Amino acid sequence: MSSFNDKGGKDPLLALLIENLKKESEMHRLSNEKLLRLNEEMEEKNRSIMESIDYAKHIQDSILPHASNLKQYFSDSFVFSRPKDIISGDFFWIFEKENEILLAAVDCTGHGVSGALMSVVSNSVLNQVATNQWMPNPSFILNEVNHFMKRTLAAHDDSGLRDSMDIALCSVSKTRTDLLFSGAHNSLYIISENTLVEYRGDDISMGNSASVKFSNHKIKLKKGDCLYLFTDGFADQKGGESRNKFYYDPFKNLLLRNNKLPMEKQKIELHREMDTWMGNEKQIDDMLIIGIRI
Amino acid sequence: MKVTINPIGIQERVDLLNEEAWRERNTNTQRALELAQEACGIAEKANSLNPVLKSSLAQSIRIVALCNQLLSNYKDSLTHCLRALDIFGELNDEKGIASVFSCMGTDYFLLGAYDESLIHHFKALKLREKLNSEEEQSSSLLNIANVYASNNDYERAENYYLKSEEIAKGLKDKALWAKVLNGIGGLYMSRSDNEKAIECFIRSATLKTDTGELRSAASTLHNMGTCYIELKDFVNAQECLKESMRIAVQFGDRTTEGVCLQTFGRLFLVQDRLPEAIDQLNRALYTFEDLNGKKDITECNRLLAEAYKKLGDYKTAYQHLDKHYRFKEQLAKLESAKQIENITLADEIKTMQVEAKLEKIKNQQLQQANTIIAEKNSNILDSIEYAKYIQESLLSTEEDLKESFPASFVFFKPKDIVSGDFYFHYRMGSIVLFAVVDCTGHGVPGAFMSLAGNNMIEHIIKVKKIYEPSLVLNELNNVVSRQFKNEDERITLKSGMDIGFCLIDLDALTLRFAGTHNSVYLLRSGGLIELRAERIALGNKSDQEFVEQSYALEKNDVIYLFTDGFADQKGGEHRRKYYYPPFKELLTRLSATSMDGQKTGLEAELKAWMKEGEANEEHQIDDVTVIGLKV
Repeated sequence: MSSFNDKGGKDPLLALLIENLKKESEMHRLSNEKLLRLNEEMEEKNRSIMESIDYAKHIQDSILPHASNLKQYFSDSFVFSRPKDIISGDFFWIFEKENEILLAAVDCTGHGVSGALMSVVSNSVLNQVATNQWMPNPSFILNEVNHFMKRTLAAHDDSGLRDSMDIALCSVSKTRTDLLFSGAHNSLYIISENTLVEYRGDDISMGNSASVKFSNHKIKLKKGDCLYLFTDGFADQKGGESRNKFYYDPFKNLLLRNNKLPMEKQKIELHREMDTWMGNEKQIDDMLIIGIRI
Repeated sequence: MKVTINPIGIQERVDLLNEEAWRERNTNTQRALELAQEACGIAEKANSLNPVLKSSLAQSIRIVALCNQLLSNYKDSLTHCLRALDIFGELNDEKGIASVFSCMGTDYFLLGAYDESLIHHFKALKLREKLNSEEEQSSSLLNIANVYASNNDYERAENYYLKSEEIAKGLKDKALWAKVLNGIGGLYMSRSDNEKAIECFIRSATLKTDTGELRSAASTLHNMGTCYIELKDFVNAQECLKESMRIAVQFGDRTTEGVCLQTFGRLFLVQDRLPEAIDQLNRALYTFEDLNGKKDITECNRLLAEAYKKLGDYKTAYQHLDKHYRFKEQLAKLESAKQIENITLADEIKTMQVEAKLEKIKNQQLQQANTIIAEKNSNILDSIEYAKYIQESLLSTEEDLKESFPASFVFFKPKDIVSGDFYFHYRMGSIVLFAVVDCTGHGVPGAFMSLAGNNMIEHIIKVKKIYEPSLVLNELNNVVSRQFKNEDERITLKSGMDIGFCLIDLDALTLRFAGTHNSVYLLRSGGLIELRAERIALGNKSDQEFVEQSYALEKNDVIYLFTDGFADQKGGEHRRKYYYPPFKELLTRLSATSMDGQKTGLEAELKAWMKEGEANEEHQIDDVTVIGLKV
């Protein structure tokens, strides 16, 4: 038998292997170029939407009441706001009428753009209803808002619309002695002399039925009492070692523990506590807490 | 006289040539080679992408490779094999790929590269097992057995011969069985059981002659000759070798011819017929040198040295012995050179592999990023889609307008999912208030502005009970200025609104209008009347007061309200704005049709203007709203 018959030439098999590898490399490189272009396009699209949402936030800010509005009436107070996304579906509302100051923590269904859009609408609805109402009475106002929601938004029920809002609404007399509270799903906490009392809102979903009526809690206030209005974002946030919800009892204890601090300090403590609790968990909902010392 | 040539198609010609070449490959290899080369040339020239023709081209190349192998041009054979492999691979033709692997295996075998040979034969076997073609499997098994036998691994060789024989017997494939018997004979030969070997060889040679595989009978006869030499049956040995030689020469099988000459030399050497031995060995040497078969040259020189030694010519004997050792050394050097070359190649392969892997990893990473971004985008878009429901449920609809004006239309085409344009409609008895509003911006910020604007107008009308168009706009100007107070100095809020606001008294048949930027057109039989809007920047804390215009209406007057989206849209041949004069003409032209027809007409015109669906389609630059109503 003969053997390889030239000067140790390249093994054609190896040459073929190299050729194939080159082809494979080239194929991946081309695919990478395409992907890179696609990603850049999507990033660009994403960026432009985000910019528009950033801008929408400024519009939202200029429409919704500001924490400074609250300070005009209650110098020792805070608004703790921690949106999940850039724009929030939770908002704080304040309205002066006759001898009453109306205050609310509102949680519009959904978050992001749709929640924020609802917040702008809800704010206007509250303004309109409050302006029209003869008496600045929280339960009357909620009844009216309920009617409005039923009339406008529920009309699109078949489209699977799920807008609603949870709200904690109270009116405080300018004498600061009397308080009326009404709520949809959300409660009011009052801490008086180291004791926390919870006033529950009604278990009514806004816009579901026009026939239900909201009720009022009548409360006498003392100087130094602290009021807390809030949405469910804080207590529902997952975190800690067990990755459980924060829950309401620890939330109450937290408020009690910090109760002696000035309100602005309390806000800082709330942020600190939430930072520790969340760790690396994602925020799941908008958070809003309003605190006022009478 | 005109001669008509029946043009045979390229495909047909290539296939015909291939068939003929295949038939002739064993009987007239040189001619078969030429035919296959011609087929190659025709198919290549056509340069067709047609897979059928490509497949035929690959077949031609494979036949060229096979003919080269049969003519002992193993290098050319391998080169053609690689080309055929490329094409078969491209076509995903596994049968073709297997046949090429098999051919390469035999090439490597004949070149003495047993490892490579085994790799290729096993590859072929695997594919053939997958394809379930028994005859070809058996042939691969035989090839593998042959390689093991040549590598002195008789146990494995026997194992594969028997596997192959079983299939060949089952298929009653005489040609194949003949080859297997030849192999088994070889095994007996290597165990010095020459009688049994001869038995196998005779059966093999008979079968080969029966099936017309005369060419391959040559090597069987040669093997028989070798056995007879061992048995000292020199007469039969010479007969066998003579016949083998005759066939080899007939078929141009120079390798077998050389081997026969060398064995003749050995036969004469054993019989001490030294001059004859030297003559045959020299002819063998000449043939091997021509074929550049170094291993055979080495052996030939050894035999020559022995012959000259016996003859007493020590000088020539020494020369041949010297050559023998030099070739042996050269062979060893060649081996190592080849190894070094292959190490370099192996390095190159490693680099390429790493590179390919890196690109692949990058590819995966990019795809992951892609998924994440896509999900992010779809989340935002979902949220915006939902925002659109909210916007739709809160703002006035075409149906609302139709309650007051059954003959009316709303042409509404937002730029994005949600819109900064909106229209407003409110009726109290015979009084109808309606407006078209264009909030600065579009998309999400536009939608915020539209809802805020809508609420402000509702508040002014429903709560404050202001109805006169100029007063409504004055109040709106106040509210907007107050509301969009700029808290953050770094951001300039473009919170403006363009608005055309109408009050129609259906009893008195009057139209009262106030507006900024958005005019109103009134179309009646006499032509188009424009109620011009003012140019007050709404929300800029200006003290300017709006002025109201009144107009007596006639039955069947058509009123149009619109934002600037339509007239500002770029398009047409020169990629310029649509502009207002053509817009007026368009409305006048469409006025003959029903209100619904006008809506369709506007839609069609805008589509055509933007060249929708064409390659040079224009982007929509703003939200578009046009409202028409018949009094």
